[in-house]
Amino acid sequence: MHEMSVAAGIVEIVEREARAKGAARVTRVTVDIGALSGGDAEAVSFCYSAAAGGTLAEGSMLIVNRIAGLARCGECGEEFVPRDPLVVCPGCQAFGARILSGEELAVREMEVE
Amino acid sequence: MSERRVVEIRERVLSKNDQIAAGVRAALAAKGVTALNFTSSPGSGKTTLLVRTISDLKGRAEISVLEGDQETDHDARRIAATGAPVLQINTISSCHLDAAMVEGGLRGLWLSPGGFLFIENVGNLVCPASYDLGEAMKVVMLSVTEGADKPAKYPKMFRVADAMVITKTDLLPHVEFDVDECVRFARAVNPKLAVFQVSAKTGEGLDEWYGYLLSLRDRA
Repeated sequence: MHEMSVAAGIVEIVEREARAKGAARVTRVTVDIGALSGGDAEAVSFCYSAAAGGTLAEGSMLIVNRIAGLARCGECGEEFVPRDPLVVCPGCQAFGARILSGEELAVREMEVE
Repeated sequence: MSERRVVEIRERVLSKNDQIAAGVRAALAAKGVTALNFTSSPGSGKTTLLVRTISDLKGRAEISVLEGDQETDHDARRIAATGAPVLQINTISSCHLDAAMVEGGLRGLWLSPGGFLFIENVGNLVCPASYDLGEAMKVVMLSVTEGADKPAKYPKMFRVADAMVITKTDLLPHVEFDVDECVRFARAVNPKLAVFQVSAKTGEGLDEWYGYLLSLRDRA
């Protein structure tokens, strides 16, 4: 049910911004969901239409911009796509690489009318 | 029909939660209260360890507890039996506590200045990893009756945690759990993780655990 509260969070942001802009309704919403964010894109999409019901975003399309994970090894500097679930450098096997991207969970933009 | 236009937003979905959490953190700091957010799978022995910790630290630490569960006040009753101030939050449909629930709960809970707030999250290793509650530290618990590879299966929770407590170590002779392997997996996702091994039943390892807790307060 985590994704339901993520979807509700998206709708809350979108509706607040839509009201602030004086929009009559929201037609499309674009969100960023990183591979390491803990949010599952399919499940968020599934929950979105339910969460949007009865709001300015009812019936709007949700576009998910998936962002791949990227990490940089603190030892050898190699950049790599973390092989879920361990963030181990494939070059030197060191632990504890810094995550550069993939943790995003954000509303990017919306289309309103 | 009015014209369609695109509006840029660029706002994190959990920004509202994080704002509330920042307020909770500031309020706790003003009171000198050290807050810990305890997470684990269901059945890892969170409540049992917290009950023992509260009892053993009587006279050395004032501890208040926020109990998060989907339903019932069973855990709050167990905590209340120690004499510690406790408030139960039932999340009902939600799989985690969020900062607004904690903020609301704290209106009804006595906190001792210079004491601790233990927040026992809903038993779940996935969703609580994403929600800042305003705590100073996240502590993840794992019992030896679970798989030693749980840190690899649920990496985000172990990545955001500050400490891992391996519980029920009195059962080690009877289970396949490999402590070294578990610690290796956990440190692979989080090299800075502090690790404790305890049995709330026999008391093994509790002195180190209590020393760590008290050092957190004294550092605050």
